[in-house]
Amino acid sequence: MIYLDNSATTRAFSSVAQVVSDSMQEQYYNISSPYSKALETEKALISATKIIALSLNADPKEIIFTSGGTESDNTAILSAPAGSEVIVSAVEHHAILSCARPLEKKGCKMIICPVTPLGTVDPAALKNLVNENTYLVSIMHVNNETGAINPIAELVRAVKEKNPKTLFHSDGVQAFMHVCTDVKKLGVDMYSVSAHKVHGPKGVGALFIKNKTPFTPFIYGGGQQNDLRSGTVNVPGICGFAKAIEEISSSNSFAQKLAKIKSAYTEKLLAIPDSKLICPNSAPNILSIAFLGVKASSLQNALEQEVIIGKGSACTSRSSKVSHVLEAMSLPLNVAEATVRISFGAFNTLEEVNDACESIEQKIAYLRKYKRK
Amino acid sequence: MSYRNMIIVKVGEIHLKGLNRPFFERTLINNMKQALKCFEDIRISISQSRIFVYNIMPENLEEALNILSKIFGIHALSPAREFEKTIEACIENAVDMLKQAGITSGTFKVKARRADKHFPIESPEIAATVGGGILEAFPDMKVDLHNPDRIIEVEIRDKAYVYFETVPAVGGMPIGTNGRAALLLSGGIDSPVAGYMIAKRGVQLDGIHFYSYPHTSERAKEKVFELAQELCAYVTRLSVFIVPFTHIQEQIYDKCPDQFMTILTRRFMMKISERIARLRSCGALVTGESIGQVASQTMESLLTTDNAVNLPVFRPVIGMDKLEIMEIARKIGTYETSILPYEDCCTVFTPRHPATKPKLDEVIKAEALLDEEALIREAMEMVERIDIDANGVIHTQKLVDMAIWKDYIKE
Repeated sequence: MIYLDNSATTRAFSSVAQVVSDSMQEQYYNISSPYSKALETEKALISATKIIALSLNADPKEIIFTSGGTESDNTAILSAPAGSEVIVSAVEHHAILSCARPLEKKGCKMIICPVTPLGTVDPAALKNLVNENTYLVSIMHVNNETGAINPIAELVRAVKEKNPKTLFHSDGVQAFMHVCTDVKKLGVDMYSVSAHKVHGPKGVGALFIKNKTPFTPFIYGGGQQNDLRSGTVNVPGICGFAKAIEEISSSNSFAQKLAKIKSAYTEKLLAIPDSKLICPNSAPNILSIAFLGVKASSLQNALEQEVIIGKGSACTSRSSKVSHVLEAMSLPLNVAEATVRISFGAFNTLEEVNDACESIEQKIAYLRKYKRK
Repeated sequence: MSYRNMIIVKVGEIHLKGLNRPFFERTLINNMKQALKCFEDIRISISQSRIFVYNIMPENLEEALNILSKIFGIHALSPAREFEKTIEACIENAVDMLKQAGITSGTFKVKARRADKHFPIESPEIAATVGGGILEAFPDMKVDLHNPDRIIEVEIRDKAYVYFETVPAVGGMPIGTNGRAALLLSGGIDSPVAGYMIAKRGVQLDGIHFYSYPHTSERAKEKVFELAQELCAYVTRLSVFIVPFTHIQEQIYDKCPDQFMTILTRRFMMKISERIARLRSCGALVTGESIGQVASQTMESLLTTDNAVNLPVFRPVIGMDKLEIMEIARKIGTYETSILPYEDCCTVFTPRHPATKPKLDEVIKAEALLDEEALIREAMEMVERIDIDANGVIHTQKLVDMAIWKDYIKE
């Protein structure tokens, strides 16, 4: 079985599992405790934090740990004060879009910025929406369904030109370790990442908050993480997260390897008649492609013994509705219904491309025999 | 004061039964025992068309009432006290029960029933005496014989009983008293409701689900198990037969006229269901069809599907609007699962222009284009039986591995 749904989640590196297990069984002390054992745990946490911060070119003080991408996104977006406006793109993850209601309850307004047919935000269109009441703009870096890459640096400049006080958050969950996520180059004020999308453990993520950015905690309690995010710090998860980053960074050509695999798949799959690439310039980990006349869910089912692929985002793909992302890109219904997401990770190889593509081609041929009459 | 807490169970139609009554009562008590087996040491006894449930711990009372209220054959339930039959004990217990429940004001009426005619005080006098005792204990309570806030019931049988709370139950007949039927369970809103309605008449159900993988997903099948599990609140246990249906659908698609695709699919479903039904000694098929809801449910289509089988086909929601069916689905707790968006039938096999008034002879002619027997045989060999109870799947077995399969082969 070939797993090609790495954007849903990834298999953890075994070194990550080892680190998590060691941390749970040996360095299990609560870092808030005064004894020296706890201090050792704290040291492990500090060095893990450094690794994670470095991977974003941030200062360790600028990182808070969360339970994952959703919490990071919620924390950023719900920090908007009452009465302010928040602008997000139409193709954001539900971790952002579903905040519309709580924001409204707070007396805030969520304004949706449309996307181009390629699934990206146009800087001029975004700039037009910014006004003096715009507290925050949140635009995802790499889209989780299509792999479309937003020009974050350019978008940040456009926003700040119109209103220098407006904060810029980006959901970097799919971008992290796949495209350049140097927060200084991007110019963002906040940035969300998650461990399990990069072969780390589930249940841990981080939010970069640029030094001096006004910030309201999202979770209250014992004042851990400098009062910014209470709750006992998930040291095993964070150490596992750092280990995953180390593994990926040490291979030094991780993104290139994925790009090669992706281009091999793209070439083979585009040779199938009536196939259509949804997003030509996309991140190296995500290939969004439609096989016209084949329902994405049927292809997914038919393939699952041999190849596991995705459709929409894992969080919404149980629903049979066409995804909001493809809808926002104004894809015709027959294309949207036929769009699958094939996403790559560290365990994929060039050697498996032929087998996987052969299965995909066979199942497409089989399913194409049955068109609605 | 000595008393026992217990539940008085009032049966519905059963007491209209004549000489068969013990059979109905026995079946009901067995069903109750099955449903209550999560509680330890439950004791159930019967006397003069009343069933008594003992040894329910106070903390389990609410759950026990909830479980019992869904057992077909039970009309109503009352948490009660049982004690020695003296008029003093009646007063004492009635007063104490009200006190425990925090009821010290409002209007009331006492209703007495003297089933034991040897008891020296007659019903009206029992009511008056107990009422007097209550008035004495609670000066803020008043008697209102026409429109009381609550009715305090006193029953004199082998022992005496007092209660003032009555929980309505589903009614119907005990499951197992009216045979067995096979329910075509699609995963939609209608079929669980149809199953509920037939089970309510005392019929034990088997479920049959047709599965079109990979055109529909594994999750669609899981959804059917979930619906079956929800139905188990009423039927305790349900076997669902999963019939792989992809090949038959593909053959119909390839070989038969488009406009008959749906009706031929339905006929195959009915024929396979009938075979499973006969294996299981079912006396009927049950479907969630309602006149005119879709092309396969027009009167002409129903005639065509009925013609495919010899067993009677029960369609309890035939005259209901979708909204009425949805209301029952909500009441019985299957609605939320039914609307989960996993496709249970694939639009590929739904023609854009299905025949709404199919002619039987034309349909039969179209059907003759297929090797019906071979297709049914192939599907039957892959049927799986999944046994489900209120906690989920308990057992899975292939139909070919079951003893009844040998009889099927012989036939």
